[in-house]
Amino acid sequence: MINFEEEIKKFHPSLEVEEAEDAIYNNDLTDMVDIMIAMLREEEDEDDNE
Amino acid sequence: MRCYKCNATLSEQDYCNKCGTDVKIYKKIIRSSEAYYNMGLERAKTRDLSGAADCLRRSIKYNKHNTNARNLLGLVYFEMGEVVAALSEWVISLNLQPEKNIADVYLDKVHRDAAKLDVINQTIKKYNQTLAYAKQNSEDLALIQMKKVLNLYPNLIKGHQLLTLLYINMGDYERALKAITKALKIDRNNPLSLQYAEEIKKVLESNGKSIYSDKMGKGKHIPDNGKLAYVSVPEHEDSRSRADDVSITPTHYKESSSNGGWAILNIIIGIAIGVALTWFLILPNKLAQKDEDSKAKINELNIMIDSKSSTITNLQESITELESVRDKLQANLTSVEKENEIIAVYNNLLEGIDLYMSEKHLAAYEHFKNIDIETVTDETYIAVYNAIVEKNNIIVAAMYYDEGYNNYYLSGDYETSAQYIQIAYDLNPEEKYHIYYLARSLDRLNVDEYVPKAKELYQKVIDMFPDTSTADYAKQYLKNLK
Repeated sequence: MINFEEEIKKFHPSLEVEEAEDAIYNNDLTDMVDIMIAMLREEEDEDDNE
Repeated sequence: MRCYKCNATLSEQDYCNKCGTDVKIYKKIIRSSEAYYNMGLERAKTRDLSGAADCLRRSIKYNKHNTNARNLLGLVYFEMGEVVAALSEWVISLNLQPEKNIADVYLDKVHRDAAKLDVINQTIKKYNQTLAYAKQNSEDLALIQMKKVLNLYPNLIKGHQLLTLLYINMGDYERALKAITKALKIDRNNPLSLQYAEEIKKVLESNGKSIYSDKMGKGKHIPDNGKLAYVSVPEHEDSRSRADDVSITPTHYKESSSNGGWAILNIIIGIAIGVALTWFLILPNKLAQKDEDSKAKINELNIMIDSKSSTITNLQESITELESVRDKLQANLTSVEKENEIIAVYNNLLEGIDLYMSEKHLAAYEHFKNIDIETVTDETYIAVYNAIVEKNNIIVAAMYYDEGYNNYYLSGDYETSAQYIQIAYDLNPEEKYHIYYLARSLDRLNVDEYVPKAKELYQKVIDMFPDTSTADYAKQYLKNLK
């Protein structure tokens, strides 16, 4: 059975147009390619140190 | 596909032909991103917007430079009513790939239709307000506002979901079903919509009502792995089924007799059938058409009203700003006026001093009377004023006394002399002769009313100037009065 009080918690206010700038700036743009490159670089650094 | 190190075009090999970098994992990541994009595209085509958004988010998580995926994600968000999320994706997309990017076109379209964007923003604000109402248990208000929101912006999925929840909370499951059906029409696999639909299905089934025919839309709800899923029915199929519903019964024609009456009767029946057909088939369509037109007009008017409301809000804000500016100016004006008043008061004092110095004591006396010393707070001013007024009053008192004594008392006009000497006494009550001759004038008037005052004044002379001849006279006259 649906519990209104519980269900209403699932709803969150929508972002308004004025808040778009923050939404864009706060967007985490790190992707798998970035992670892979970082890992490879770390590996290379470790090899160089050895 | 290009090498992430040297940007050279990659071949089918697992290393870059130019810089020799191992690109095996990189290629896998890029292919995964593409695969998710393809899945997202497929799902978007079948109106599984939530599924599509999920795939597209994964796609750009693999490769943020997958512009197609990001742009499509923006479109999907826009279709779901998440305008700000859509705009964000397009802005990021354009930022990552400024050239040859369709996001530029999307953003341009949105920017060009500023009025529409404003309406959307107002609608978002109203949605947030509705949500606040719902959370504050003002379901009735929330319901009214939500209907308005969805009238303005019918694609807002979470709006339909919230409306459904409100109806469920009110126990109106039939309306809840209609609302969630609309949400499922926009996004057929939205998990929350499916959950609500499932719940509504259970309740309606337990109440013995069928939920499989959708009177509102052209689609049908079918059970899908125990869940209620919405499947849209193609237009032609729908019209065909409706056409099938109309069965035409073959009529049997019988050769009419030569009787003209039958022919006329047949014509009348024909006309009647014609009228009936018009009434039952054409008119409802026309009315439905008119109804649609009216709804469209109402929608347009609502959008217009909303835009006007926003203009009114802006104007009201301007009015408030202008009022605050006016109040500030008013305050400035008041302070300037106060300063001017102070300057005027000082000028008055200077004029009074000038009259005193030119020995125009009576004019100075009249002038000082007009200065409202109560309004002055400056202590120096008050001290100067009091000193000059005191000195001037002594002189003016002497002038009134001389006038009263010489011109009226000596000539026996005690009434006038009492008036003059009274002024002198008021201005300088410490002067012996002011007291004594005021007492004498009153005494000599021989009016019972003035006797107590005369006695009081004689006593004052006796008390204040005990060893003088004036005090002796006063004692004598006081004794006579007793």
